[in-house]
Amino acid sequence: MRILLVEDDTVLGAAVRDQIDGDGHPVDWVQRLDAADDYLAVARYGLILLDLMLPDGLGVRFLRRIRGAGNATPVIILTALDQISDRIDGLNAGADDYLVKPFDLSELSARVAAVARRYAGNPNPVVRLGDLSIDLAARQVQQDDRPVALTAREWTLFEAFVQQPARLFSRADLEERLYSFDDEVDSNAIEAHISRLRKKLGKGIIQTQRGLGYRLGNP
Amino acid sequence: MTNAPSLRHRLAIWIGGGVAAAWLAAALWSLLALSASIDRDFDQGLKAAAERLMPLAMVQIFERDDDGTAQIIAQFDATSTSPRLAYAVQDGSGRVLLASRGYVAETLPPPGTTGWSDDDGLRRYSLTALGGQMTITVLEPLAARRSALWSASLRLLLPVALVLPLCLLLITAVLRRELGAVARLNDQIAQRGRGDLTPLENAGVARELSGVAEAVNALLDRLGQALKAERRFAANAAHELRTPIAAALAQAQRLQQEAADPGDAKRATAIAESLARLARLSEKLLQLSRAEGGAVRATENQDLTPVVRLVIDELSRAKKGDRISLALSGDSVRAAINPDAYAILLRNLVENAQRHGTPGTSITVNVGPDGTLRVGNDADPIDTDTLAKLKEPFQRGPTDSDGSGLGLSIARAIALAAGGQLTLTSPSPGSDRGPNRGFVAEFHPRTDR
Repeated sequence: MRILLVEDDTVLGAAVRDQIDGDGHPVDWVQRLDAADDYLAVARYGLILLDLMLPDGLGVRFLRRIRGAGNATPVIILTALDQISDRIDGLNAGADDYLVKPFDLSELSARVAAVARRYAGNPNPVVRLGDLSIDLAARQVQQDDRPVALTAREWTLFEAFVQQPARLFSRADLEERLYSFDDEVDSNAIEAHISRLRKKLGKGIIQTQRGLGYRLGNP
Repeated sequence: MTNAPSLRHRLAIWIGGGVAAAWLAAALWSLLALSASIDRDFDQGLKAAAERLMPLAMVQIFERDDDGTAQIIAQFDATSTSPRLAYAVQDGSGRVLLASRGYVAETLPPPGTTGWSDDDGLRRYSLTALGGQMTITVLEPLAARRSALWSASLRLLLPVALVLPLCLLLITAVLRRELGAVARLNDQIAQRGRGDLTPLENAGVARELSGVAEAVNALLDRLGQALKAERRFAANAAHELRTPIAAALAQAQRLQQEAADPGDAKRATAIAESLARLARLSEKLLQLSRAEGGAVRATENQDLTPVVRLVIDELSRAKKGDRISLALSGDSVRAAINPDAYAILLRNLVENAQRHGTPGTSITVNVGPDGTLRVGNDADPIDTDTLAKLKEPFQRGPTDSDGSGLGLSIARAIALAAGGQLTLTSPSPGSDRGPNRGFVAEFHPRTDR
């Protein structure tokens, strides 16, 4: 799930980006609202992490504006404002959740994962697929009760297929989910990740539709 | 302040006293003038009587046979027992030739005297004729004048005595009516609490008072701006403090995760813990400054239901081991308290229960429709002295927890600023936690408005 991080503090922003990136979600990080508008115009995001006080305006106003324009991307507010009324304002403006600074990065990861599940219309964190048991909250896959280790990128890719089992993903779709604008993407990176997933989870786990893309199969 | 004399009483006393004194002075002056006028009129009567009687008396004396006795002339009204006027005619030797009934020889002046003389309560006027051979003296008792003056005085003073109390009543009534505006203004000013800075109603107020009202309104305006600036400062301070702490904490946690060396990871953990403590303390200090800053009371009732739910939700997520059972009685919670202040109050009471309650037991939060809060937890009983000390800043009960020691003093500051009160009880009465156990913190908002 590709994430847009809007945070003007460079030290905090870097830590948040590294954390989310480490969880396997590509992050585009901007420090101003006008830049956030530009990024929103050209890429589809699964989640926006939004600071409330930015150099060129208030996060709540930005949120109201994009909601008013029909953008339903889930938003988690990262706020340094300590008053409950600020949080209520944020939720009323259309935020899905909020974290009050300072927050635990593990808490951030958990909230991001929860939003990702909700967004995919699959709030149930454990999905069964053949002999696979996939815990979306804990980000764990078990095959016949034996854990299978996936890297963060592999997990993000696999999660996309599990959450939308019927969907046909183009290579560009998958690249968008896996990489931010700053990442250097190898032309056959997606193929490489998919081949490793097949090796770990079974040959039929992901089917190739030649010339069109990939979709979830049977392990 | 209540012992200070009332403006209305003082005005009533001074105006009433002044009117009464002026009235009395005017009456006294009138009486003096009246007295002089009565004297003049009586004297004129006396003199005219002497001048008219003299020729008549001479005719009478010359035409009669002188037998050497005094001729006494009866009065026309024989029934009058106290004749007002008396007269006597004497010859040159002092012998009384002719007199009215009731004259007294000893009261006559020596023969040949002319003009006015007073003697023994009598006013006398004498005239001579025939070169002093005949003297007529007309006498009148002074008591007659006094009685005339007395009856005139009564007629003058009686209406004053009747009207003056009426006048004083009228003054009091007018003062009460007009000074009611002062009392109303006073009430309006008294109603302005810490949170209520709405301008006073100025319409229909007398010119003298509208100045006061305008001055108070200007003051309220300045106070409102100062409070707004303070709130803005607190919000900015919160933001400016929280962001770098959040950044440092996040970096320390990244270091924790990435450190290959267990020693480094341990150090990163220590930094993270220390930063988390700093964050908690700075949050508490900001809360304390808000609690004492005066933006606690709201002008109107606020819907506090979402605040209660959000705070309980946050605290449940923050410490997952505790079970918080929330009971809202009634459809909504409404009180004239700033929602942020109410959130800080509730948060501190629940955090206190989370921190000091027996681990693994549940915390009960009851919220009444008027904003009443009752937060109870299981705990060993706390003695009365310790309970009293708990509400002071940086005081802790018998605990080894890492609390800031500010939570309950923040809660108390907000409770007081909201016009309510915070009470702590241990052991909790009627508790299902077993006899002689438990701790309850209760907040009662003020209910008089």
